[in-house]
Amino acid sequence: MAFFRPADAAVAAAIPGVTDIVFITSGGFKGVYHCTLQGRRQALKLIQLPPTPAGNDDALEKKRVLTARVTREIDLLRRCTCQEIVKLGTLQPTTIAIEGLQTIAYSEEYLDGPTVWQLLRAKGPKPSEEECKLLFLSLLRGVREIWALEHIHRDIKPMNVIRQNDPARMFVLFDLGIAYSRVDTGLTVSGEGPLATYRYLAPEMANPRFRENLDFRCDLYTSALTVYEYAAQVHPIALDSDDQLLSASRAVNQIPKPLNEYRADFSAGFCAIIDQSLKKIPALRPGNLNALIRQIEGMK
Amino acid sequence: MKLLAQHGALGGERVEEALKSNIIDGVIFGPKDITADNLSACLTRIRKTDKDADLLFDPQFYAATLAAKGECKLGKLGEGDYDSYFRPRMRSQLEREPALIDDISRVLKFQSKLQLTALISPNIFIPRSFDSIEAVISKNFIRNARAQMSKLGDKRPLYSTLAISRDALNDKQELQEFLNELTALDDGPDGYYLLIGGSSRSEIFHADTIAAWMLINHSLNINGYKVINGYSDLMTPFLGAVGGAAGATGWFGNLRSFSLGRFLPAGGGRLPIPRYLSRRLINRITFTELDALREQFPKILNGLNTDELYDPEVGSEPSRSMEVFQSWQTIQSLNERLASSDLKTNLKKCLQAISRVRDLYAAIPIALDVKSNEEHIDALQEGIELFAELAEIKLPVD
Repeated sequence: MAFFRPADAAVAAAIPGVTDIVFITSGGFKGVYHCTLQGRRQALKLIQLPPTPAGNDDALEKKRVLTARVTREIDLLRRCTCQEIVKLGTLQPTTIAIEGLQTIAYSEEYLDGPTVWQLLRAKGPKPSEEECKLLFLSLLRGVREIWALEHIHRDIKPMNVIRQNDPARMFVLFDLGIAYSRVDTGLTVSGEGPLATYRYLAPEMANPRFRENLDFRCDLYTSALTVYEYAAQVHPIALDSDDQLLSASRAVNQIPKPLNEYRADFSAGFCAIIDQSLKKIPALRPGNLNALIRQIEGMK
Repeated sequence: MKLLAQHGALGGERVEEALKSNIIDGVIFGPKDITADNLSACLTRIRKTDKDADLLFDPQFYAATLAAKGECKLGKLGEGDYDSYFRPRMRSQLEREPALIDDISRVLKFQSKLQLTALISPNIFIPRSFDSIEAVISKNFIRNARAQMSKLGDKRPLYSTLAISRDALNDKQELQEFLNELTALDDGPDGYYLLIGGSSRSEIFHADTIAAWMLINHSLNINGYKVINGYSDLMTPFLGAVGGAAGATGWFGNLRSFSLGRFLPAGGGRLPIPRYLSRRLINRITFTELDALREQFPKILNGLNTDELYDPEVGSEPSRSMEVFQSWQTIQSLNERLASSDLKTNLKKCLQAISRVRDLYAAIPIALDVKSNEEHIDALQEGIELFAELAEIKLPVD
């Protein structure tokens, strides 16, 4: 079921205090708006729960998983303190009915800027090395924080990073909707395919047994992938015309060209770190996050 | 890359002499060959004369499972000096974590009283496969080492023993998964004391073994671990080329490659023929072969001062006790040539060196002894190429 966009007035009527609603985007069961709430702009998230006709166990299970994911995401966001990850807003999660559909609503801070994906599609000037380092550092700090809370983001990609004009907080990671807990019971049955976007799939996620050995290096890979694409304005392995199967196959088998081939103006050291972080085998990626962050900070 | 002496039954004064001459950077002692009193005295002497020397102690705990089966030759390890930590251990005993933790604690406590520069935590030998009970036990030894070190309050670096049979290295998928786990440890050691077991030259100089050994060094180095390769001998510079921090070698064959066979009863044998390690051949040839070839093929000689130990006036036969000096100096010089900080440059140099070896062997008109021949060259080249493939590195052309 895709997100059914209700009338803005219906949303405003269902959530007291919400004004100036503007629809931004939707994906899966989720719709995203910005609005004014308690006197400030906030991002409003609506997650529509599937109807559960009596006797339909599949629908019940889908609803359970979806509710659990939202709960996990909000709980994780509440515990994240670093500025590289989006913060919760003032609207606490609440289940309401909007145009007859059961919906979970909550808010996050409003991040003012385009996503890295929008910047890539706009095909503007290529970013500087300093900006790419800042992007990588921001993602690594976010990954470190999420890992410290025993989770993996699993869906780091240009669509989930916002670039603000604030130099003190330029890149912010959001959408922890499919974050994976390494300590809690899995929300889906082992053997089901990966949830991540195939174009931004870490190679180990293509392994049917990926849950057994998944760790933060999956996020390290996708962070490097995001930085590579932002820097080169070319995806390191995927083509726009690829289908999901081909994307997954490339993630497992295709070695990317060194970043230096696209950005000869970048330092060899920074390119080498991005290239190393894109290795197929997790053990070949620089897995000491603190040392890696210090190394990049030292390059500035 | 550092070169350490693998201390054996012979040695004391020679090691100290080599340290003074800067031919080696340190020593790895083994309890099989030295009493606890001599060990302590030797460490004290070295610390007085060479403050920078790396001084390590391999607890040789991997022999404990052999000892449990009986019929084993433990040397001084079984004579009482090391009873505070060494005892026969059945595999089933080590499957219980409290016993394993107790063993780690005892081994580290023993070392903490010695003037070592770093401590090595114990482990067992992984004999066949990473998908085995031994591999699980081995990982448990590694996982629990840091906590025991912290309890001791010892601030010196901690290395975990990782002892693997070359047979276990054949399955590359299992090796990768093992490395994935090892490099994701939350509170791991500072580095690894890596031992690759093989009983013959052809087992070690095998493309699969070489590639895997290099991959382990490379992966651990990328993840911030220092790797000290025990018994690495001629593999040392190639391991240094991909990130290994140190290698080690010693007097005779049993200190140049690692094998649990050292702890098994062996029949007597003749003393080995003294050999000359040629940098250009990346191999040892007998002194008689050296004598026969040195005039016609001067490239066989290293041009290092230990060449003087092979005096042509006496048929190039060295004093047996000095042979190891020549080995150490040659390996050190290969380290300098092949193990810089740039991986791709190093690999290119390694392949160029192998190409030169091939040319020189092709020009030699006499049949060489089986250990002196060029058998290792194809394996080295294939091993480096396979390593590059596994490590996703594009080898430089030419």
